[in-house]
Amino acid sequence: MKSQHQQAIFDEWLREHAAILHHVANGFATGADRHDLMQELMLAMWRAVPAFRAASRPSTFIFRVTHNAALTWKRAERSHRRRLDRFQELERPAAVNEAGGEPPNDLLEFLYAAIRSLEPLDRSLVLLQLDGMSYAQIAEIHGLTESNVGVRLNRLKHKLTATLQEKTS
Amino acid sequence: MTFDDLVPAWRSPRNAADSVQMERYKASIVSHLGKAYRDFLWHVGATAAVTIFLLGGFVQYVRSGGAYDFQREWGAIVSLLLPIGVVALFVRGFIRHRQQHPRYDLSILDGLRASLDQNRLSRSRLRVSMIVLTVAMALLPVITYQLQLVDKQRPHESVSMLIVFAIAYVVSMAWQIWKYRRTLLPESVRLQELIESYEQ
Repeated sequence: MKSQHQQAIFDEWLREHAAILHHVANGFATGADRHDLMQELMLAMWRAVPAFRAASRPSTFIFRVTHNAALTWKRAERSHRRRLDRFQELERPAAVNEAGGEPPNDLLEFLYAAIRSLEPLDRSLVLLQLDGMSYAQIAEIHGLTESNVGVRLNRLKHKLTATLQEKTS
Repeated sequence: MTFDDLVPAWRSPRNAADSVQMERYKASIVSHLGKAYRDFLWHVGATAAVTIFLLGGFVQYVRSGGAYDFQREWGAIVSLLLPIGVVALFVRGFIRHRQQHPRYDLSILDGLRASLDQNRLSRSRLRVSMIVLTVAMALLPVITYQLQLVDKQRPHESVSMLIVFAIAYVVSMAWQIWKYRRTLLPESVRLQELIESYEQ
């Protein structure tokens, strides 16, 4: 695959599916680590472009690639500081991030915190469910059976809502 | 509160990606990829240049009538064959890995299993590399002795050569042991735990 073609597909995916990366990065990491993970997700997506076959939907493919990257992501200690420095330079000022005058959405922040407290596979399952994927699609992405996904998600939903009720009450 | 109550917050504009920030990330990635590509070209170019220089020098030496007694200088030939054997072994391992995981991209679980096998292969490569380096190091005194016998090396040159190679050996072994213990082993444990979480 030619580099220009790869770049065009990457740009298109990033434009249309940026939310997937945003959700995964926030669901798996926080603070400065989130930038590190976001870089890993983008690199994983870039490298995966040549492997994409039109038989599957780009969104399903991107879900699989990004969740796989997040599950296997581990902060590289040696290059960590260097990467953080680079990303902190890229960070927009807080005032710009919270433009619009909206108050912080506590429920969303609590939700992300609750997701991050789960085991890695459980985090991924919950994120996929929140992003509107069906049990069948989640099962296909992860290589689990549909009934297994159903059982796990039912348990996780109860656990998550209980945690949130505790935090928000 | 039910899980469905969370969906509106999840789908709210506050949970959308910041397009300006994403563009900045993208620019950073493009720059990173460009640098990685230039580094790759530099490494390939440097390795090719050194190989061509050494091989060219040897061919030139033999063609210009330089003496080479295979029976008395076999040590150097063995040390040249060692890396070729290692490469053949690595290629065989890679082909086996590809055959065992032809559809690693079917699901995340398949990908994790392939990654674990890849990790096992990497650890095996490092072990082979450390053994071969040790064999090559043990062969070095034989090579210098043979070179001295055919008057191609003087004793002080042998000493310099042994010192340089010994330092390179220690540095290389230290780096490989560090990589094995600090990177590959923990990664293997992490992957195994992830795969087990699928089986629970």
